[in-house]
Amino acid sequence: MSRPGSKKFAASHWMERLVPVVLVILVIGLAVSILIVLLS
Amino acid sequence: MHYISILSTIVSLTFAAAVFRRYRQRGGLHLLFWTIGLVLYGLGTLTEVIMLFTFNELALKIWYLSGAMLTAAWLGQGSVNLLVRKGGIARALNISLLIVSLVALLLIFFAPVTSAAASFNPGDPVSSQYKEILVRSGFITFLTIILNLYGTVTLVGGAIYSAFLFWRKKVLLNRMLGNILIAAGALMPAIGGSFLKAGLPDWLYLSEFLGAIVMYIGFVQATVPQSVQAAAVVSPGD
Repeated sequence: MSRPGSKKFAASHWMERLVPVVLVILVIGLAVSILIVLLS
Repeated sequence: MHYISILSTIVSLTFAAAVFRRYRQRGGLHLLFWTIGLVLYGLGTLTEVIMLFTFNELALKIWYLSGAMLTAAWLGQGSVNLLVRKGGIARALNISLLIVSLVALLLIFFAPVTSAAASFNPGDPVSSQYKEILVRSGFITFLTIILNLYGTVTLVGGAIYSAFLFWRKKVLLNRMLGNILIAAGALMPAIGGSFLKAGLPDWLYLSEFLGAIVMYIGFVQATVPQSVQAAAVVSPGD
């Protein structure tokens, strides 16, 4: 984890796994919302 | 559930005031565009509140113009000003958005309203009734789609891109988390539009409220003061 006030942070084990998954979910969400706009 | 628009209005206008305060302290066109986008967000939910009580043609038009057409695009333009380093491109897009917004304003304010307005039911969400009341030309629909596409891609895409940069460089954890929340919050009302098609218009209002809350938390998270700043990295916390 990051130290308060530090620029760099060291990701914990769970964060290493979770953040990429969250980013992929967001990209999928973006694609879905684009489809919704196009199909509306 | 559509009384939740009252809370959405309070949250979005408070959020707008916070962003504007930061703009006055630090400058930056991106903060000004976000402020305008959030005021439009608040205008959209405020006019929803007005039409909980009575039908008003002007309120309907402001609701459509701000909520359906301009909010996403102006918020996204803030991200463009933050992320696009070539000033000429950002400036050209700023001017284009301004012109398109003025065209949209004229088109909506001169758009006729049908006799269905007389049978408007304040008990039902405006989002489930406006199509029968407001006459929208093909060009208005086209502009609505283009503005929403542009806004969604730039706002959500920009926040995801920023979060990814912070993650890859492993810097500024608070800004990475803030950008993830901003992207998630912005997606909520965008996807909430599909609830309309599913016959659940009330859920659109819930998504607007949650979207405003989550984006606000993301903004606060991204702007937490840090003793060491990464000048080389851009983010909505700037």
